[in-house]
Amino acid sequence: MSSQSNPDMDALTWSAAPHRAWLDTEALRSRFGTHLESGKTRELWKYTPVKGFVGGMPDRGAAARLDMVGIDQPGVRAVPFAEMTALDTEQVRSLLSNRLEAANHLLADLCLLRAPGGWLIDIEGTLEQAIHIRYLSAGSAPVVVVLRQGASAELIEQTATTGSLAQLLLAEVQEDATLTHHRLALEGDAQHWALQQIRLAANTNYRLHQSLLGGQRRRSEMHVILDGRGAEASLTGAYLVESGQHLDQQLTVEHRAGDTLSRQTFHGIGCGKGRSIFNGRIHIHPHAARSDAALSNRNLALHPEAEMNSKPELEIYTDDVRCAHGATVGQLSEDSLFYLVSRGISPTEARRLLSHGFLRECLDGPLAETAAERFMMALG
Amino acid sequence: MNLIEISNLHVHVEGKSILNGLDLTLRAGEVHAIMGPNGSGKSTLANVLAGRPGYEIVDGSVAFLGQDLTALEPDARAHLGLFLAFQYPVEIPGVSNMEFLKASLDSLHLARGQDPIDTVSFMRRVRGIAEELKLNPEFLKRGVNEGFSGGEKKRNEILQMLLLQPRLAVLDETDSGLDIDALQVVAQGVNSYRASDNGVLMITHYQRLLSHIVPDVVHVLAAGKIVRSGGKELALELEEKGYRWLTA
Ligand SMILES: Nc1ncnc2c1ncn2[C@@H]1O[C@H](COP(=O)(O)OP(=O)(O)OP(=O)(O)O)[C@@H](O)[C@H]1O
Ligand SMILES: [Mg+2]
Repeated sequence: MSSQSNPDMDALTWSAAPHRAWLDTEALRSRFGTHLESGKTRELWKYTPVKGFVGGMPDRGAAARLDMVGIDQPGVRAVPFAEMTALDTEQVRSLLSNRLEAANHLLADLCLLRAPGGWLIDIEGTLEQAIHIRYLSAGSAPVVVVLRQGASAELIEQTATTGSLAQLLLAEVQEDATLTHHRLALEGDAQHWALQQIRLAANTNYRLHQSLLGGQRRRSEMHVILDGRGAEASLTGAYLVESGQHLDQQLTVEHRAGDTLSRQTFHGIGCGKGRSIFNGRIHIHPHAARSDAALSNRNLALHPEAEMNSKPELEIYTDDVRCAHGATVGQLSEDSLFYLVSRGISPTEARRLLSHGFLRECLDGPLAETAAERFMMALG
Repeated sequence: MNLIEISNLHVHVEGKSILNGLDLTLRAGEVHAIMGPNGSGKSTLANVLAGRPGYEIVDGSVAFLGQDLTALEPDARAHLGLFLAFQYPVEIPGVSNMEFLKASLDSLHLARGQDPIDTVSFMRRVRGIAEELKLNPEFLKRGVNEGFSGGEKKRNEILQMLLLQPRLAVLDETDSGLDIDALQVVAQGVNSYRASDNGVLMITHYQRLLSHIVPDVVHVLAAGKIVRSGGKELALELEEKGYRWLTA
């Protein structure tokens, strides 16, 4: 159902509110009010002033226009919130109210309060074609994705608007399912908030490839919950912050079950007077024995006024785990530079090759070339 | 014709004197071997020639093809025809070997006012050399030296030498870490490169290499100076007696 093949774009913009009956808006509102002023919020929004950000969130009733490709293939049911069955409604209600912890994801409440609708994407079996969602206009866009037991899907999300956008994606990956997820957001002058919360049941596999450019204000929250034995997550991301841009990434990986594996590799470059924040948390719960987690976040500050913040946080409540965490902010390696120039490559070209290579290490999937081109444009 | 003429070279590293009046002249068509104890300054010499930052030349001169080498930036030295095969080649994930080799060759062509080589001919040439060195051509797609074994890294250095065809190749322990077969393959590569208008300066710890690549001159470097030079039989003598009789 792409915008080209479907002239009825109204189906993709949500009319106000029948779904709100099942959403306890009063509770959301009071929860939001309480958490807005909390110490926890101040800590989680240390570098991005929360009130200014809230002020720039999409207005009430503004729905982002989505273009979705791949939702009319066998195995996929894409339903606007307003048209859900009673069973769907119960599932979505329970996911949205039980899973989103307001203390950590304040703006998820605001996004839900203001969004006039949303989408449920229900996936069964192995999909032949990727589901490709493009966010075409300013507004709020809650999307709930359910991968049923044993399902396998590829999800591509790409922003295409310089307006204020709030993306809330909640994915429920049931036993033995596999989700490959590609995300791209390259508008340098937008306010953009996004939360991806992925819950992984037993024996699931989740892979993320993400490319982000700083925005006027961009905040990207990624929360992965390994909730069943044998769940595996591998997250890679590349990002770049140019002059005048702001990029705040909050990554949380929770090992709630034993015998789970997570790998996180994120590379970022600051190439102008801009600010990048990368907060990488690994949380291993008391009963998650034999969890294996590794997070590496490397940053290059290629401009004297590039501000690259990287803060690792480890919370480990059981002994029998493997956990590695590395966060660095540095410059291009002198040894690598010398190797290249000793072969005749000019220092300028050598820096270009090395900085591209540094980001390319974390690029993969169908959006990699688009991201690489944009990054190269910035790096010269 | 002198390819390189090093006179009275004194070099400091972090304020410490490492080379103390080194003299060495290598003419076109010659292969010289440099041997010497660990820490005597062999890699320092190689790095100084290639122009690595952090080495302070406090006295002496280096003329390469008649030009003052020390006045040139490292990339300009490569353009002129200097090549260093590193003792410890770095790994650069994210930059493919293919991309790196092409950028290297293009930069030499550009500096010399030659047309760049087209990708098809380039690939053919690199594959040909890789085959000669028994390197799996798949390596071209991988990051520069990424995940290469020690021996593969050394063969990749020789591949670069054969591709870039320098006037002077400085090989810093290219034989270390090679198995017996790889040593032969590398030696064949170096021998196929040898010509009347180029030269090789070969740093090694092992006489074995010199039976495959026969040197015209063997030098012994100790405490930052050449303490003895001779023919290939000097290497055999060193094998037998060690360095002590020369450095005492
Ligand atoms: N960056 C540096 N800082 C301080 N000392 C250095 C540095 N580089 C080299 N040196 C010192 O200079 C001396 C010569 O080192 P060099 O690497 O040239 O030895 P080498 O002859 O190549 O030894 P090997 O046979 O072990 O490779 C050593 O004592 C070494 O510790
Ligand atoms: Mg050495």
